[in-house]
Order: sequence, then C-alpha cells, then structure tokens
Amino acid sequence: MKRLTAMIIVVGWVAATPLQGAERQTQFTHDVEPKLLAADSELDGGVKFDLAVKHEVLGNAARAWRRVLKIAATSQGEPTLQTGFSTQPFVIDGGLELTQLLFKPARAADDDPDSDEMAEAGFDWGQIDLGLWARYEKEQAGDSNFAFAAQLGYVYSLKQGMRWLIPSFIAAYNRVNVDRSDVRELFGATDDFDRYRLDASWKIPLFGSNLSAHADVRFSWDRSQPQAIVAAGLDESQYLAGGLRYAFNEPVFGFLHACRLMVSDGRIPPANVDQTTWHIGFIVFQ
Amino acid sequence: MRINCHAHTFNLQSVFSEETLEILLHRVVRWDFPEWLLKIVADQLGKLITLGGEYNDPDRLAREIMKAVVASDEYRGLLESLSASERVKLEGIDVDGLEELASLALGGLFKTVGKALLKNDGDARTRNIVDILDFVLVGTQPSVRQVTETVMKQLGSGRDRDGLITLTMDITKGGDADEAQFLKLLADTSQTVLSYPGRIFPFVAVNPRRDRHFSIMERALNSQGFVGVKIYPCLGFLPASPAMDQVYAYCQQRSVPVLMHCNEGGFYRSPGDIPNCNPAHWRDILDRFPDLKICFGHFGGGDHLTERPVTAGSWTETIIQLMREYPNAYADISYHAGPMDGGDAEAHYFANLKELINDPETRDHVLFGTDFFLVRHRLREKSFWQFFEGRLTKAEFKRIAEQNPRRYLGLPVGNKPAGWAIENYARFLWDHQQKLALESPVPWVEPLIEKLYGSGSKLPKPGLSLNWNRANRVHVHTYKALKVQLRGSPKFATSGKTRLHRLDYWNKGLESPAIWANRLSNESHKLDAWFLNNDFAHLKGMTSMKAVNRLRAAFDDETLAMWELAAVCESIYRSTRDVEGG
Repeated sequence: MKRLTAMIIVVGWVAATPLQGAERQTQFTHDVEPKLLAADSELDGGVKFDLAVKHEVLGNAARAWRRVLKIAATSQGEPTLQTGFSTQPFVIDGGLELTQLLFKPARAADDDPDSDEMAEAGFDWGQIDLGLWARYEKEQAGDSNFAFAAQLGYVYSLKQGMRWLIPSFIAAYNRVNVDRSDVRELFGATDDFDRYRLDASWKIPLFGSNLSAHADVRFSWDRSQPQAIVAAGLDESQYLAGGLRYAFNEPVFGFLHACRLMVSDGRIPPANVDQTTWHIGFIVFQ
Repeated sequence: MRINCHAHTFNLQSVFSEETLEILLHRVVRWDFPEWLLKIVADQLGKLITLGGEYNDPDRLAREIMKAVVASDEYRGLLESLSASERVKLEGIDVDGLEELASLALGGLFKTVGKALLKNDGDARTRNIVDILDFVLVGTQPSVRQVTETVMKQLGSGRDRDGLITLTMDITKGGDADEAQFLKLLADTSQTVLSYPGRIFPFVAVNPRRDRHFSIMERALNSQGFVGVKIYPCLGFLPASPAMDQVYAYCQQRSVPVLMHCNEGGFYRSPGDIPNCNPAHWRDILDRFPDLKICFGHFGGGDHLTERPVTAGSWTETIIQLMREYPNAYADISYHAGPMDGGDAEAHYFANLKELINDPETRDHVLFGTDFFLVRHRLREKSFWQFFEGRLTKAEFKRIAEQNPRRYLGLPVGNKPAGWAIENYARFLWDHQQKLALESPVPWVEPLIEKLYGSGSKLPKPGLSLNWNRANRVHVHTYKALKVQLRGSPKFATSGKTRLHRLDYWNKGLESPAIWANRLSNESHKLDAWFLNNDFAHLKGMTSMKAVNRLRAAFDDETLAMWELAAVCESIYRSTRDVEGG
C-alpha cells in the first residue's frame, strides 16, 4: 500500500459549450481542474477533467414526472505527471441514459419572495437514471478493461431534517473484458467476468450553513474469479472517502471561497493497489 | 439633477391595438427617410392592420421589417458600399431563417446590420437605416422596464443622476376599449419609478374618450407614483370640454403639471384632428385656469424656430405669446431635430432659442426634452443631449434642463416645499420600499422622506440593482425554486450574492462524477419545471431541452451567484403574467 499526502489546488474552471447549430438537443460540457500534489517531499502536477457530449433523443417539457432519453458519450480522468499519484481511472464511455424525475413543482401563491405560501404543493423525491453503457477504463499505471454496463442511478439533493441520510447512488452490473493486466496475466485470469458496482455519496450539513461533511463510497465485486485472484484480494475493491468542506461567508483575500479536507482509502478498479490519500482543497476564484 | 422633460418608455406591445396601428402608420409615412425604407415599414404596418385580431405582435413587425429590408434591392446597393469583410458578415443573413430567429437573436441582427451600416455613430446630422431599425428595436422591447433601461443607460449616472419625465399614451377607440392594456401600461410604468427612485417622473395619459379616464387619472396621481398628466388631443378630442375642465380643475388645485402634445406631426386619428393640438385653444382655458401648469410639448414644432424671426402665425409664435402672458405656460424642445441639418436652420434655431432662454419674460418657461424613443428614428438619446449641450452655454442648458424642470414638476427647491404630486410620489416610494432594491434614491428624495415620515426615516440601501430585484418575477422565482436549498433561510434581498456552491445540491468533486452528472440534470429539470408551473413560458426559440442544457452549465459553475443564475433564467423564460402590486 502506498501512502500519499496530496495537496490539491482547485481553480474553478467550468464551461459548457453547446455544439454549434445543435443547441436544441446536443450539449458538450467540459470541466478541467489543474492540481498540484505533494507527497514524500515530492511535488507533482496533475489535471482532473470531465467531458461529456449528450444528445437528447426523447424528452418532454412536463412539469411533473418529467422523463428524458439521451445518447451520451463521456470521459473523465485525473492524470498526474507521476503515475503513482493518480487515484481515479481514465474512463471513456458511451451509451443510452433514461432519466425519470420523481418531482412535481409547487405552485407559489404569490410573487412575494419572502412568502412561503403555496397555491399548490409539490413534491421532490429525487431522480432515477437508467443507463446502458459501453466503457473503456484505464488505470494510469497501465491496467485497462473494456466493459458493458447496465446501471441504475438515484440522486436526491434535499437536506432538511434527517433527509441527509438519503444517499445518492449508482448500482451497476458490468461485463468486463480484460484488455491489459499484468497481475491477471500472472494469475492466468484474463477471461471475461461479471462485476457488480455500487457508488454512493452523502452530504451532511453541520452547524448551520458553512460546514458540511461528505462521504463517498465505491464498492465492486467481481464474480467467478479464479482462486488465485480471490486469494490475492483482487476480486473485491472498496474506495472510502470522507471529509469536511467549509464555505466562507465572504471570500477570504477576495478569492478563497471554500476549503476542504478529505481522506480516501482503497482503490477504484481497474487499479490493483489500495492507497490512502489526503486531499486538501482550496476553492479559489474571483 | 438634469431632467429630460419629454420622453416615452412604453413599448409598442403596451399600446398596440388596431387603433394604434393606423395612427402609427400616419406617423411613419411622414418620416424623413428614403422612400423605399418608409414603404417597407408602411407596408408591414398595413399588413398587420389587415390581419385584424392578430395585430398584437410587435415582434412580428420587427421580424417582417428586417426580412423586407434584407431582401430589398436598396439594401443590396448599400452593401456594395461596404468593405469586403463587412459585406461578408451581412450577405450571409438568411431571409427565410429570420422567421425562426429568437427575439434576442433578432435584436443582435439589428445591431449587426446597424453597426456595419452606421458610419458616423455620434453625429446627430446623419440619418441612417440603423435609426429606423433601432427605433423598431426599442419599440419592440419585451417590456416597459426594458425600454426604460435602454434610455436610463444613456443618461448621466453620477451622484445627482439625470431624470426623465415619461409620458404614457392612451390611444383608444373610446368607451372601455383596451382598458386592461392601458391599465397594464400604467402599472408597468409605475414599476419603473421603483427602479429609479427620484429619477423617473411618469405622466398619466388622459383621453376623455375613455369612460373611466378621470378615476384612472386620480388613482395614478394618488397611489401609483404619477406626477403629471399628458394629453394628446389629436387622438380625437378637443382640449376644451366639460370633461377636460374637470381634469384641469383637479390639476390646478393640486399644482399637477399637464403636458400637451403640440406640433403638427406626431400621432393623430385623422388629419381633421390635428388642429385640436393648436395652442390657440389655450388662451380661453388659461383664462379660466390661470394657475394651471401647462407645457406645450415640442414647442409647436421645432421647424418654426429654424426661421428667424419665428414663423409668423405659427403655433410656436402663439406659445411664445402665451408664455409672456401666463406664468405657468411652458414649452419643451423635444423632437427638435430640424436644426441638426446644420446651416441656416441651425444658426436661426439657436439664435431664437438663446433669445428665449435669456429673455426675462420667457426664460423660466423653456424645458429640455428629447422625445425618446419616438425621436429614435432620427438619433440616439445621448446624441440629442450632446447636440444641445454643445450649442448652449452651461448656464443656458442648466436653466432648461435643471432649474425650469424642477419648478414645473414641483420638486422642492430651497425653502419652497414639494408640490402635492411630488409628495405623493415620495409616499409611493415609501409605501413600496420593499420593492426598491435597485438604485439608491437621488439626493432630493431623502429630505422629503424625512419631512414626511420623521427625522431619520430613510429608504433602504440598494441591493444588487436590476440584477436581483424583487419586482422581477424571474428573479423572485429563481429564489423561490431554490429557497429550500439555501441553508439558514436567508431573505430574498440577502441571497442574491449567495454562490451556488453553498446550496444543498453542491457536491462536486466529493462524489463519483457519474452521480454529480445525474445531480446536475436533476437540478436543471426541476428549475425548468418550476418556471413552467408558475406562469412562465420559454422565450421564443427556446425549448425545454435547450433550457435544461443552459441551466445545467450554470448549476455546474461554482463561481456563479444566485443573481447570475437568475440572469441565465432571464435568457430562457418570460413571465406570462404581471408582477403583483404594480
């Protein structure tokens, strides 16, 4: 296991660019965050990126129970100059995504912003996303897979009362085709196999509006694995991350809006090595 | 504070009716523009008139005018005079595609065409295709608020910012025709008072052909922030009548200023109605109401002042006589574009004007005005100001743009207290102070508020100005939709600067990217659904898919504040009903 202490400076740089002439149904979004990492007196640079092109096939402008079908291609990654520092795999995938909102908007009784009176109540039970994906995933150190995935997602963002207990999650079934894995080749375990994944997250408001706690867990279970893989502990993985985020009322020095401290432990396939990483993040922008 | 005493901030939508179209057509055909351009505008107006019930669409008017302009041989000829790079930009305009163009994009196209064709932007002497296009563009702004913003941006913005008398119009067939539309115009205009406290002075239009004209006027002056009365007799009534006498008596008793349209142009119902605006009618009226403050708009027509001496027997000469005889007879110089042709016209005009401004008998009776935006087909508001400032001395301009307007309006001057209508105006601001949240009041307002409500009474400090405004339904509903995610339940006024990364949904970088992507989709759809469920519609050319894509990008941007998200929403939604409390 490798232990790292990473300091991450995040410069908010977010943009969405509708494809020329096709804003009606297609959107390209890109998000890039440069990073500076330090570990064992070594410095390293990196970049986190998230790119997506989504094309809406079917949609409606319904007010309640809205449903949308999209074709999407996305790519995420967090490459670093030194391969050992990266904690997230490079992923590129494409597929179909069906979104079902469990939401009906309320109808306000008036236009007084400080009145909470509603002419008609609404509800918000979150959103379900069903997806069918073809995926290529690659650990920066070298291992890579092709996968077909069927997944169920659920997001819920309200936090009043005890609602923070409700997680947002993605549960997925993957059929994995090993593209390259030195470890698996060593164990003679390069056949296709089934993988079940569960990613979940919580955000817990603490002491008012400034401080929040966060949990990010990701599990995977590979089935029908040779004994050698099971014995090596490579048939299951877990990634557990938790931390705190503090948002300042007024930006400090005019540009520091929030900071966060996270610690993560474990691995996200196709990585084979567990690692513990401390993340210190400063959210800076003008 | 300098004041433009003659301006209009209604949009065509707010006065558009079958009656208006015919009247507008009468006006357009007399504009001093190339025949081919006038023909295009007149043809489109004529077509709209024949559509009968489908006339209420100024956006369509703008679209059709642009289509016809771009398709015309004359426009092609103008392109030939441009450089190759400018020409390429304009030659690509797809005439058929204009139908599908959203209003905002159409506005951009007007600007592109205008910019390329306008060679000398600041010169009041030039008259250009862009003027007429821009006139239509201003008139087809979606709301009175936006027309007002257009003019206010061009006025001085120091501590003692420039002000504006904004004149409403009531073009009616009579009875109770189009009353809801007229009341909406008054309500929308009233809202603009709250946007620029102490700078916008609205005059309520009185047309005795409307059954309820008197009660509507009373309400406007008593509780809607209106400070004067506008009359336009060539819309089909005589200035002297029992009904109008009742209006004059009311205004005289309360020192409410009246302004009458007074030149032989402008809008009229039929040519036979033009003499209704003759100032000669007023000798009798002023004999009976000697303390009535009356301003003859346009001074009887600026062209009479371009002759020296002033044209004998002209309306302008009559007005000058009235000024000498009656202490409360005023005239404004709005729409006086004649001297801008230069030469003798300009020299004579300013010789006459300076004489009037310096003559002890008339110097207190001349007011500065521009006729925004109805003069826009000639030149910009800013150019009009600059033209007169550049040709009068500082003291002369101060007299007509500052000292005389204050007296005419009844603003407090030294020990002279504010007039009845101005006191009501201050009360209106006080009663609606929760809706101010825009500019801070100009200096004259504060002492009056203290006088009316006691020492230390102050109107609230401005918030985010127009960017986060409780009088703006889009802003209010951006807040209402997301209020549930704002921790600590901040009030509307204090939540405009709240960054989106402080809302409950924000978990970027702290969860799997796939979950975050789903969360963004969720927030965007919910906000879109909220707007559609609360009496909003997408702007023309916008769809739910497009709206959600735009919102998604905003929700993903931690640098944005609530007011900036509201600005994004303004580019997507329009209200389908009025703001309450107008």
